[in-house]
Amino acid sequence: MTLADVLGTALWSLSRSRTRTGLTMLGIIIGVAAVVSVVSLGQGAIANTEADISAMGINLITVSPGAKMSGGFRTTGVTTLVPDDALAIRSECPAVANVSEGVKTTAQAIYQQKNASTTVEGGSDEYPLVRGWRLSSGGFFGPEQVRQAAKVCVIGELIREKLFGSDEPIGRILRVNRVPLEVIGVFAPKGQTSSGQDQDDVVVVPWTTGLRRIIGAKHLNSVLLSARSAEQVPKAVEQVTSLLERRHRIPPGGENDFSCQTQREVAEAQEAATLLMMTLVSVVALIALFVGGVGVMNIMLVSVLERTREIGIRMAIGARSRAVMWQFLGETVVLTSLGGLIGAALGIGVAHLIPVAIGWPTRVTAAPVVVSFLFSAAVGLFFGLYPAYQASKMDPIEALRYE
Amino acid sequence: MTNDVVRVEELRKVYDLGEVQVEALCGVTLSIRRGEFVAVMGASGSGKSTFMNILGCLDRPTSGRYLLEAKDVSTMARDELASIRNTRIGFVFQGFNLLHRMSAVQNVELPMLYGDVPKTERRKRAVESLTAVGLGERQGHHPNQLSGGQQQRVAIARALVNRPAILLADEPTGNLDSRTSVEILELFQRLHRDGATIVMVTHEPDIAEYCSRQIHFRDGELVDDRSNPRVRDAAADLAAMPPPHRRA
Ligand SMILES: Nc1ncnc2c1ncn2[C@@H]1O[C@H](COP(=O)(O)OP(=O)(O)OP(=O)(O)O)[C@@H](O)[C@H]1O
Ligand SMILES: [Mg+2]
Repeated sequence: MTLADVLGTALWSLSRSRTRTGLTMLGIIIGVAAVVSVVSLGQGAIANTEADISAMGINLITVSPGAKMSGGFRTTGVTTLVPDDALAIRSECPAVANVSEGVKTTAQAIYQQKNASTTVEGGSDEYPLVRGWRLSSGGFFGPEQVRQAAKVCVIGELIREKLFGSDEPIGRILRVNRVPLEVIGVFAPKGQTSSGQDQDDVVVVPWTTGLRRIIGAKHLNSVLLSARSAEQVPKAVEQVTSLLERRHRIPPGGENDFSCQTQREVAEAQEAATLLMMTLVSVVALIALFVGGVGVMNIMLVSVLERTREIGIRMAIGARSRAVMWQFLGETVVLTSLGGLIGAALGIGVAHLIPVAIGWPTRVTAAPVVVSFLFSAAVGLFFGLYPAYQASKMDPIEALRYE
Repeated sequence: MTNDVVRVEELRKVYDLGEVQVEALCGVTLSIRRGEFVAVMGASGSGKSTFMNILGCLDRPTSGRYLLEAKDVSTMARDELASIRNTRIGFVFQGFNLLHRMSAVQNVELPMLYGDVPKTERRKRAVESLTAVGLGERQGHHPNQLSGGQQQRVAIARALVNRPAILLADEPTGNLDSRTSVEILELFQRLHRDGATIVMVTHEPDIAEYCSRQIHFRDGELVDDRSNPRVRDAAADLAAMPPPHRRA
C-alpha cells in the first residue's frame, strides 16, 4: 500500500459519510479558525502600535511622577513633579527640543444643551510640536496665553462633532467644570491609538489654565518632551534624569520619584501586553483543538466498531495489520488536516472581515496558519492512533462473523 | 507429494468456551492435489467451516500441521498469513462479503491494493477477472445493484484476481436459487478445466455431483473420502433447464 493508496482510501471513506465527517471536523475547524483570527488580530494590533510610534515621533519622551515599576505599572498620586521641573528642563537640557507641561483630567465639556465626557489635557504652546499633532482649523495658543492662564481651548475632532455638529466651532464658548473656554482651534483627526484610546476625544487647554482653573492643583501629571533627533533620545533621557535627580535630591543609588519613558518603551510595553493576550487566547484555542481531537477519537472508535465487518473482509483478502492501521490513521489525519485547512481558510476570512465589521486592524501571517494546520494534523495522528490500533488487532474470523 | 497443494496432518481445533470445550475438528489428515475439485460435505456443525477457515489461513489449528504448497503455515505469524491469504488463497463466502460502498471493479481491485500491484495494472487485471466470470459489463455496478448470483461472481473474480494456488468456497451457493447455483457451478467447472484447484463446502448432494472428489465430515472427523466417477456437467444441465428469465 502506497501513501497515495492510504490517502485515496481515506478520502473515499470520508466522502461516503459527509455529514458525520463535517460534524467531526467542526471542533478542529473552530479551533484552527480561532487561532488564526486571534493571532491575526494581535499581529494587526502590534503593527498598529508600530505605526503609532512612527506617527507620534520616536523622539517623544514622557516624564511621569513616581518610580517606574516592573510590568509597566506605576505608582499614582505622586505629587513630586512640579512646573519648575519643566522650566529647568527647558533651560538645562540641550538634547531636549520642545517641552510641554502635562496636566490631565476627565471632565464634562458642555456647549449649550450638549455635553460630552472627555479628557482635558493641559499643555504648553509647544504641545503640537511635541506631539506632532496638526490643526485642521483655527490656531493654537501661544506662550502669552499660557502665562495668563487664558480661557481658551483647542478641541479634538470627536468633540467638535459631538458638541458643534455642523456649526462653526471657532470663537464659541464651551464650559469645562463651569470654566468658560473659547475654542480657538480644532485638531486634525488622528483616530484611535492601538490601545483603543480615541485621540480625537480631547480638549487641550494651556497647562496653567488646567492646573489653576479646572483642576486646582500645583503638581503636574507629566512632562512631555521631544529630543532634538531620534539619536538624541538616550542623551535627552540621561540629561533629564540627572537634572531631576539633582532637583529632587535623590541620594545616589536611591529610588527615583519620577520616570522617563520613551515612545519606544511605551510601544514595547503595549506590544508585550498584546502578545500576552494573544498567547493566552491562542493557548485556549489550542486546548479547544485538543478537545476537538478527543471528539474525533470518539467518532473513530465508533466508526471502527461499525466497520468491523469491512475490516474482516479486508483482512480476509490479505490486508496486514499495518495496512488496516494505516487506513484508519490515514482517515483520522486526513479528517483533522482537512478540518485544519477549512479552519485556516475560515480564520483568514474572519481576519479580513474584522477590520470591515468592527474596525480593528488585523494582519494575516503565514506562521499561525502553518502552525495550526500542522497542529491539527498532529492531533489527528495522536488521537487516531488508538482507534487505528483497535482496528488493526482484530481477528479476521471474529470480524467477519460480526453483525 | 510435490503435487499436493494442501496437506493437513492430525488437524485439531478446540473451541474453549470456559466451562465446555467444543472439539470442532478432531485429527483430520488429508491431501488435496493440484487440479482437484473437492466437495466438502457433512451435517450442520460437523466442522466444515472450521476446516475451511483453517485451510484459508483465516484461523489457526489448535494442533496439527498444515502445509500449503509444501510450506508449513501452521507456525506462521499474523502478517505472513495475511500475505498468504492475499497471494495464494482465494476465499468465497456464502454471504459474498463484498464491500457495499464500492463498485464491482473496486471490490475486485482490493486484493491487489494489499499486494503491491502497481496502480495502473490493478484496473486492467480487475476488468479481466470480471470478464472471466461473465461480468465485464457490470464493472461500475455496486453490490446492491446486482443479483445474488452476480454478487457471488464478483466475489469469485475478487478471489481469483491475484491468481491463487487454491480457491476455497464455503457454501457459495447457499444463498442462491437452484438455477443460479448451477450457473456458479458451471463457472467453477470452467475454472477447474483451466487448471484451478477448488475446495467447496456444500450441503446438497446434487451440488456435490459436479465435483471430482467428495469428502464427508461427521462430528469433526473425516469419515468418507472418494472420487466421483460420474461428474455431472453443469453446462449441459443448464442447457437442459428451461430458461426462465434472463440473468447474469
Ligand atoms: N467461534 C466458535 N466458538 C465456539 N464454538 C464454535 C465456534 N465456531 C464453531 N464452533 C463449533 O464448532 C463446531 C463446528 O462448527 P462449524 O461452523 O465448523 O460447522 P459447519 O459444518 O460449518 O456447520 P454448518 O453446515 O451449519 O455451517 C460446531 O459445534 C460449532 O458449534
Ligand atoms: Mg459452515
